Amino acid sequence: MNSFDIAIIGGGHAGVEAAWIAQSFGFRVTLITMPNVSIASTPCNPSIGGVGKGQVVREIDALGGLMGRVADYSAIQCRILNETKGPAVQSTRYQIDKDIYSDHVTKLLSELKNLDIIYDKVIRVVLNDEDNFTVDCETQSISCKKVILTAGTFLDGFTHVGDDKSKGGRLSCDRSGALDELFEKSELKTLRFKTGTPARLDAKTIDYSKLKEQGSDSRTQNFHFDHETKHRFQRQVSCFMAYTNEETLSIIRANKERSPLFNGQICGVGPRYCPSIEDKAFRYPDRNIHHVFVEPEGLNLPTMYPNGLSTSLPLDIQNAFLRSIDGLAEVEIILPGYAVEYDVIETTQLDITLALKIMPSLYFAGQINGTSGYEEAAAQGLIAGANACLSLLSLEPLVLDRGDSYIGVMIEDLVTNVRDEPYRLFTARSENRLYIREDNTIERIAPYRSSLNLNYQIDQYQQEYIKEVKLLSDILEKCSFISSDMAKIYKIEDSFHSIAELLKNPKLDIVGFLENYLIDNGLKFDFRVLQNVAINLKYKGYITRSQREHSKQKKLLSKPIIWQDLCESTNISFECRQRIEAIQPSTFSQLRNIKGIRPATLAYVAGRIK
Amino acid sequence: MKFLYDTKPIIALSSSTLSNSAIAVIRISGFVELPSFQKVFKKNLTLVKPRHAYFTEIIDADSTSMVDEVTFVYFAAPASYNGENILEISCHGNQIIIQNIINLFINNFDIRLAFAGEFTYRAMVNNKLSLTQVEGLDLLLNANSPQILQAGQSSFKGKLHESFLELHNLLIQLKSSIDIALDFSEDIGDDLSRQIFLDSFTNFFHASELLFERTRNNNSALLNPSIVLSGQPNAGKSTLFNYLLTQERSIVSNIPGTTRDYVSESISIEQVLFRLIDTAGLRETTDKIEQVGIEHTKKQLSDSFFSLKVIHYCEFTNTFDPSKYDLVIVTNMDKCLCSSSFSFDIPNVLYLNLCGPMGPVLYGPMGPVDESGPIGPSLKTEIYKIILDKYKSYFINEPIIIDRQRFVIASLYNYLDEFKDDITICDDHGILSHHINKISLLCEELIGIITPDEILSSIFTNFCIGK
Repeated sequence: MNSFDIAIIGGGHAGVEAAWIAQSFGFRVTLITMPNVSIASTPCNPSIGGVGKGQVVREIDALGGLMGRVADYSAIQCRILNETKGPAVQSTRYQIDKDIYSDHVTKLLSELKNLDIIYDKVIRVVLNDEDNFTVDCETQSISCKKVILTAGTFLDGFTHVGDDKSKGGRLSCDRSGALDELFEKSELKTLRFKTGTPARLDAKTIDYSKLKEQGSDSRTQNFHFDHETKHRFQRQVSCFMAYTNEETLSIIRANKERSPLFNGQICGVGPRYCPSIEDKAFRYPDRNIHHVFVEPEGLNLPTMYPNGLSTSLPLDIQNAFLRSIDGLAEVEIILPGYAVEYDVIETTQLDITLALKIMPSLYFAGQINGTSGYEEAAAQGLIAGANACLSLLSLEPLVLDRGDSYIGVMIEDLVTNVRDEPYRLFTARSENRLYIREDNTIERIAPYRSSLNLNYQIDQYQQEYIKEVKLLSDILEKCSFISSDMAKIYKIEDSFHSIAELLKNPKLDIVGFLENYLIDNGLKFDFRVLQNVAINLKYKGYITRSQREHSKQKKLLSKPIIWQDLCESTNISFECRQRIEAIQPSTFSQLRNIKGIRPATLAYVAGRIK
Repeated sequence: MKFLYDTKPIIALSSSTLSNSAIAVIRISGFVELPSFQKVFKKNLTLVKPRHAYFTEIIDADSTSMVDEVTFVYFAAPASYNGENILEISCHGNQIIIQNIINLFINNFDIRLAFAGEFTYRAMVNNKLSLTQVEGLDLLLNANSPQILQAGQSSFKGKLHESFLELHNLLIQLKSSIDIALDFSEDIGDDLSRQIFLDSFTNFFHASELLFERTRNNNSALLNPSIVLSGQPNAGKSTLFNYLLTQERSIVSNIPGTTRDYVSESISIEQVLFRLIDTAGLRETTDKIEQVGIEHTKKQLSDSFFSLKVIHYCEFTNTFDPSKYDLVIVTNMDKCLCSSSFSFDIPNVLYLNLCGPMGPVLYGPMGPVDESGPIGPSLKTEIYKIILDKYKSYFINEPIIIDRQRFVIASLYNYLDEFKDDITICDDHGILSHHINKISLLCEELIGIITPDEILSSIFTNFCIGK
């Protein structure tokens, strides 16, 4: 029987990140993935990044993850979102080539000597002893110390196309058993979620002249630190915009009883932020015009992805409503849209490292934790993978603060509350938008990366980066000389204390100005450093003010608490004690985020924290 | 808030009387099960339904003798005043009986006496009442006028409570509008999301402005309204004071400086309780005691609800500005030989004779209080009416009189006012988001914390989101 330090079950975005980071610690790792399902596939929309998610991809990259570099490599259309709304809230989104993405990950992983990829289906996981598992697959068994479960939508998965209900984690794919089949006598609490995807359209049957074209933006900056900021690896293509109309919606409304969502066939809870077209039809009876983004799935793939038309209606209805859309009159469906129902675990059973509280050698990451999105899954895989390694090394776990990363926000949200729908990151979930930006990701994340004590190219780069940020900030705070040419171009008057002060001017193109200023003075800095420092200075006043306001509160929020003591206190109501016992919070912030915790309990605990 | 309380069951006499009365209500709150009290009840408690009244005997558990005949009602948690199990016992209102019953429960069960306000404290802790409601309740129970009583009711359940709920909803909309612009601009579109933001901000600002308007009264003047009589020494303040009280209170004499310190009495005008204050005459003096009195007078004047100036007609010259006072009373008109030179149409000035039945006056003669004396009742009515009109005018806008609420609203309004222009022209959503966060923090004390899940829920409910 082969033995490993860490076994990862599931080769999706969570699984590959976990495997990638775990092998970088030097451990022997295996990634067990379903035969006939490609590694790191993107079974829903063909894009990586987006509002909030772009920040996550950069955070993953700064922690040494995989997603950023592969997204850069496979990008075929690039966009900067929220560009007009100020530098703090901009996000990057790439349309990616699905085949190139998956192939590139497979290639990167197969080059690793510490990592074995096993194409097999896991039947059972048995914990023999602390840090000693046996994982039984259909054709072999392995033993390992830690298991990371990243099963995505495959746990007891069912797909629905109209009344055609079949077992599977994706359409025409196998699935795995329910959790209690995998773990004998497991008493884990699970929920049933649902998600959906639209039909894939034959790219040759679409009349693009009737759609609005959206090209790639060459100014978009790559995710990976070691890629030149604006270099594209693939040929760039366009996306297209279409609109539904009255006919489209009336076809859907006329077939309510054939919709698995509305006739009771599906009982899982779907995400409200990503509704199917049936949901839109019935929830907004007065609206008939909805956007449809028609996105290519790859340079050499025959399919287009009609973003916005997720559905589980029967195939004939899908055909009918698609063809009612201007530009899609002749369209052919290559793969029908479908819904999938799957098991997720209640994440309040996990601790902040994503380990199961009652069995700390077992980690959960990705869609199995009730999240949606490739980026959310990847981030969790990386955190679980790193923490499994740190635990084997008996080192401090990797826990990101919600005050300085979206990954921190997500993981704290997951482990402190039972979610009632699939969880997606929104910038709205952070209290600190002005600070959790894309441009300063390395500055925010480098301290976490360095706490892993690894020594790769990225670690040297980050050390250098932080030094340069400090140096440049110092220069700009102290320097007050500006050449008369620059002053003329930017219409700057003499009375200013420092360059840093100039950068606070809301009308100034700060990055462009700083680039020119440095050239003017014969200085050269990495563009990422320059941009980071310029935006830091622009918001400095706001950030310090809000940090001052929050610092007292923050101090309190990060204070550790001993939940066992709280559960014994007679000063806390029975109901609150039950909730505390269920969640087992370790900081005041986590305690505060528990649903239904009474103000009196918080006040009582706050009053006793030293 | 005090956090010293535990969650033990509590008992207290809820109808407050120190003397004997026909009926008294004793409340017990926070027990686990009603039948645990069985040994002191004759009635079988397992048969008791919530919200039904039962007649029974309370018996001494040891001697099995009757303590009293009572009626009781059981309110089951959470459908009770404070969200806990509550038992309300109506017994005979004799102090000995009340004490016996309370002692019976404390001695036989794990129950302690409630601290003052603890029933309501628990209602707040259990989210039955918001902090603003509890504050309203305090007004409700301690109101010294029908108007304050109404303000209390308004904060407790009525319009003020609704105003805060509305502010809560408007804040959710405001926060949502930023999130729509950032997280869902592809769904909603930039122009529409900008419009939604501007509309939400305008609505929120307007609501805050209205609330702020309602705090622009002097709350100490409303909670404890005083009528302050001021004027030059020997103008006749004390005479007027006694007249308004209809009793001899201030020492009246014709020696200037007779009233050295202020004298305060309560008067009730149409159920509104006022403090009527006769101040020491304001004059330069070397008398130490009188100086202290003058300092007091100045303090009273600045805190007063209603300032009543008493002035000798000789002082009533062109340099005197009656508009600085709520009411000016010009005295000794009987001694004035050229009263025709006065213009009698200044609205807040009354003219009277103070000493003696002579001369042309508006409201008839008035002298020192004398049961048989020529006191014009119509004058008192007129003065009362002017005072009461002012008092009532304060309540037209439903004033917010609780200090904490006033403070929060003022700081919210000041912030909005300061950054209003910044916010409406700014297109940097990072900075906007910073401002909205700050506004939200300011509101938290008034309307509670709003979570991101609430915001997202509101967006998903009101807008079609999702590509």
